[in-house]
Amino acid sequence: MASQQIKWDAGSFRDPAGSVFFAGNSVYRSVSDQSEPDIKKLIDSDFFQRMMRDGQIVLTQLVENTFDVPGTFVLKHDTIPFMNYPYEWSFNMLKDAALLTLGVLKKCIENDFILKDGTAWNVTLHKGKMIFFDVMSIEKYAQGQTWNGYQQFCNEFLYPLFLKAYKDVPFQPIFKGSLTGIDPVSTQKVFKTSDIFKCGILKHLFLNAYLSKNKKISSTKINREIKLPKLALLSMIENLKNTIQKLKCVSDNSVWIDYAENNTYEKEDENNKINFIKAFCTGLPKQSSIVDFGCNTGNCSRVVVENHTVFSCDIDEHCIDQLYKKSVHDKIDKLTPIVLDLMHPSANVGWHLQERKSIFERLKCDGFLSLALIHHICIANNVPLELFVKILHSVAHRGVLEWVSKEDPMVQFLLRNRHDVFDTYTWDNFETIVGKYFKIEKTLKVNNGCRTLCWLEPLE
Amino acid sequence: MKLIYSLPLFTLYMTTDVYGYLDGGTGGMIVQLILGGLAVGGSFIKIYWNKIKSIFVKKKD
Repeated sequence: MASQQIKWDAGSFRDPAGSVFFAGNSVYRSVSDQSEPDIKKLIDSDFFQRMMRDGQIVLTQLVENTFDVPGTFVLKHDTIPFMNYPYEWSFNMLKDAALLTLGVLKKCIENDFILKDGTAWNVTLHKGKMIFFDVMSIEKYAQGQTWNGYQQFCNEFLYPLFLKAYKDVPFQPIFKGSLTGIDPVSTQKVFKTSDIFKCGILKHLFLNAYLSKNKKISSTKINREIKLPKLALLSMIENLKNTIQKLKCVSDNSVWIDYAENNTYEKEDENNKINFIKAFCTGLPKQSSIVDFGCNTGNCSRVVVENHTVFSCDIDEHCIDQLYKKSVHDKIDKLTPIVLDLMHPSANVGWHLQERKSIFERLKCDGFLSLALIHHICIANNVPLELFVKILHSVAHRGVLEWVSKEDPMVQFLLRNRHDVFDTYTWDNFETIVGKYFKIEKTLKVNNGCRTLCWLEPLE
Repeated sequence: MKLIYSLPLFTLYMTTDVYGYLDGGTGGMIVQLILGGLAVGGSFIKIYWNKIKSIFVKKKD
């Protein structure tokens, strides 16, 4: 029987025990002969089956290898249609990912398995909650071993959470600059001696930074003769979990957090806007996927999600955090909140710029919403109108785009200390440009005529 | 190096059958040994607190 054609995942190469590949519409992971006995034992174990049923680990089965890859068996995973990454998460998303990782680790150790690593890239948001998908990260626990992934866990989960919780330093730019998070020595520079009393700082940061800075200690070959009792390891993990659970985000300095309450729209305009969006959604095929750029706290996203899948994007991590917490609370599984700055979107990064794909390569959508956004892109950030419309068209060929005129109070605010160099920022020019890429199906003026909602469909 | 010798060494045992691809880092391993030791010590004191307390209470009497 001829082997089916496969494509290796460019981001899965570090672990010689197995790598991810795609065949048709399915996702598989190769399993080396050396790892096969432990992986078989893992898949058959009760605790692993339970974690899959509870939605903590991606559904996985061991199947015969009919592909041209090493090993007798391969793992077949449930497909996760949209992978999202730590630089797209808000504080509570990273926190939940950390707690999930520790929860999986704890259950593994209790059943004589352990995680090989502690990376934030093993987890993603799927169907409204964080899910662990790197099954190959789980290996047999050797009595007395320490957790190899502890330092990585600190760099990619704990320190970014510390920075946000204790110092209100956002972690998304850190991940964009370094896929491996931030090391203890760099993190420590942000903290003072008086921070020693903050939960977790002395034990997991200062101590770690001290040891890292000490060249004699850090270059010592630690022999693996030192045995750490399982109970001690579990106690340490419990302590780590408690530390993370206590962390809270300082989220009251967002300019936009009360936008939904105090924006420039009248109540009637707000209702008309919602009805316009509902009408647009009704015209879409069932279960379409829509991206909501500049979603703020997600009022419009929540309208769309009644019948479709939504990717809710905003530059403000606090808005996304609020939306995430609300969605988790209301158990909305078709809404994915994403921290996204359209001026600096998630790019192709990592080894050979292939490890992690850009947001535009991952977002495959049937439609878009771009509400109360155009002036922030084209006026505040000087992007020509046509470039903005082109980007929207590259995402989807239908959507709702809101035009915001210069007379609008928000635009006046943006121009208050600037020369008005935006001669081409006019409704006529906008209409001409949009007409090159879309058909304007319908319009609705709101906000005393300062804003116009445009229902856009594909050109015939 | 003094710090290494003062660590709570448990027993000597070679753990060779670990397939992990990741370098756990010296600092990370030492931190776990320290914190693990403290956690076990703390649990020990918690479990036997009454016995430990009773030594001092008896002395007062």
